[in-house]
Amino acid sequence: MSITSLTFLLFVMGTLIVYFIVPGRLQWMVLLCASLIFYASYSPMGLPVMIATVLAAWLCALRIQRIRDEQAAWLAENKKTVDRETRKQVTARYAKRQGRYVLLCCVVTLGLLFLLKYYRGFAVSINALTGLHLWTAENLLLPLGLSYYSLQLIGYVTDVSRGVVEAERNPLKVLLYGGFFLSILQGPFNRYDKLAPQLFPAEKRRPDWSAMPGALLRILGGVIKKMVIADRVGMVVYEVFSSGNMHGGLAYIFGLVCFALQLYADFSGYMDIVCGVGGLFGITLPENFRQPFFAQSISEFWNRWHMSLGQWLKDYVFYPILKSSAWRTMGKWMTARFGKNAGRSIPTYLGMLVLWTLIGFWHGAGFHYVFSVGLLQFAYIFLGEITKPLCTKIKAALHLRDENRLWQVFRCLRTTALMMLAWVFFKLPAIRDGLLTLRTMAGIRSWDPMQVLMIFQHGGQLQSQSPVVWVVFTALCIIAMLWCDALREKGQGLRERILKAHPAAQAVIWAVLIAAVVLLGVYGPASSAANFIYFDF
Amino acid sequence: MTREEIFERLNDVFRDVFDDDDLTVTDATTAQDVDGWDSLRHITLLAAIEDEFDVTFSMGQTVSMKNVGEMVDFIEEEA
Repeated sequence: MSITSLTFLLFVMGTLIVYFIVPGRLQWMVLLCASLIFYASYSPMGLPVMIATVLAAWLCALRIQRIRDEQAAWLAENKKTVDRETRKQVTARYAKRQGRYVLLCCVVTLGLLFLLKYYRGFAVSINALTGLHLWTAENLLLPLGLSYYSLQLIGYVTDVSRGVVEAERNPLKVLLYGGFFLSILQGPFNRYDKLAPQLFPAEKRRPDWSAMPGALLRILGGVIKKMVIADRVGMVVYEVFSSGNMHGGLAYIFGLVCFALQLYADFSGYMDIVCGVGGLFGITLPENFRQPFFAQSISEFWNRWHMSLGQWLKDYVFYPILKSSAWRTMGKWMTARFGKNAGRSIPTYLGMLVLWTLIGFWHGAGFHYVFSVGLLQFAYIFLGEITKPLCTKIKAALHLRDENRLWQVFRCLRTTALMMLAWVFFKLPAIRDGLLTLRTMAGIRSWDPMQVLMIFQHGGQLQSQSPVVWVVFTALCIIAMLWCDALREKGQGLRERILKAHPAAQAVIWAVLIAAVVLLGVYGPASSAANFIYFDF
Repeated sequence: MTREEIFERLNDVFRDVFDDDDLTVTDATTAQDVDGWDSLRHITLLAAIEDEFDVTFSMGQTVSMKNVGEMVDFIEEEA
């Protein structure tokens, strides 16, 4: 059931009707049934894995809650009578007991994730390197959404141990949290303390008619991003990178720009659809994008791209690493030997290295993922940090100020160019292929505009349109998407403007947007509607 | 230790971590108000505060403290 299909539209409408009809205490069960049906429509064999993961998280959270309750009772009884040192020791003992269950949950959840997502790649590599015949797990299928719900459930158990939330006693409610149909396939990463009050409200949830037009407009915008922009430029990307044809440098550059647009339109389009559908139910999901192509540095780019993953990793991986006793000891050792600055910065950079390696691995077991969205990103940020004093001096010498509009545009373009460089390696299956492609791009003699025209012609043929019409409409849609982002960057959301317009103008806009999906959307064999890029992660 | 004393020592820690001798924090100060207080410096800052006051922030506090006032509340309670 693709979320851009008519089936999904009917499924959402049916669920909405039932959701708002049933009594309040049953509303979450409607969402649970919908989530299970939705997930089973994609990955019926994955259901047992999801249920097993949820059960592990539910049990661990309950055990942790019991320990926390014991700790609270002890503190209430003894806080005034025991000294601070004893209190610290007892608290540390309770924390250690809780930590064991967090660890158990991580072992079970990440163990399944490793077995189903990464093991095969490791086993094949080890067999190739050593001549061994390890089991290569060829019959094991990767359940959809495993990388997403596993991390969300670890986050839930960790939050119980941190006292951010109380453990949920009903396992079905934890199942709904982990398997919520709007987040299960490719995020966003939810937090239990934010989502649970919306899934299990104290009172019956009623339709908010005033919010519906905005939610529907967001869904329509998301569908346009996916079906009109991502799938159209996806044809170019396929032609350039996947068809086995050799191209000149210009075609690769053009293909790479299209890949950047495809990634953004595909993933943010999906987010717009699920956040819009959430809005129909009155549920607010965390945002995943904030105009990423307006980022002026790589760090800022990652604060605007796949934001919920970055925030999750910061809270549950990066901070715990930096706060660990090993890192603190390392910091003190380095301060004693190399001074305060080194003692503070080197452990932080090492923590970042671990974090970015994990982000790369999260995308997949291939080294090109670890390199492109892991190590290379770390290198960008690290170099940016250590050259900061030098850059400040150069900026002062050139009289460049951060408010200078041209300087800001240059920084945005530089950030996008660096990301595109990384995406070459992200797109291609081997580092060697990426290097060869970059070399071809740099060879100006191989730039052949005719190849780009041929690609346009191919795109037009796939949609039975003349190349000129195909290019013009594709370009118009891309400009419209980036223009919407530019407006939002200035704090002027286009959706809000449309909703304030005269009803007749609104009707025309709705008609144009629906016509855009019907007439310009990619359908049939050329469509990749069932496959959003981030499903694979 | 009084709240004023805590703020006095806390300001020294902030000035040291953010390399800004003019920096003064209040109850309402947040990460947005201090130049350079990003996720990288956050842990450095908390580590420096832990060393100064001999307290330990839990991970829950590390990720959920909203302003300097909450830090001072915790130090006041623990130190």
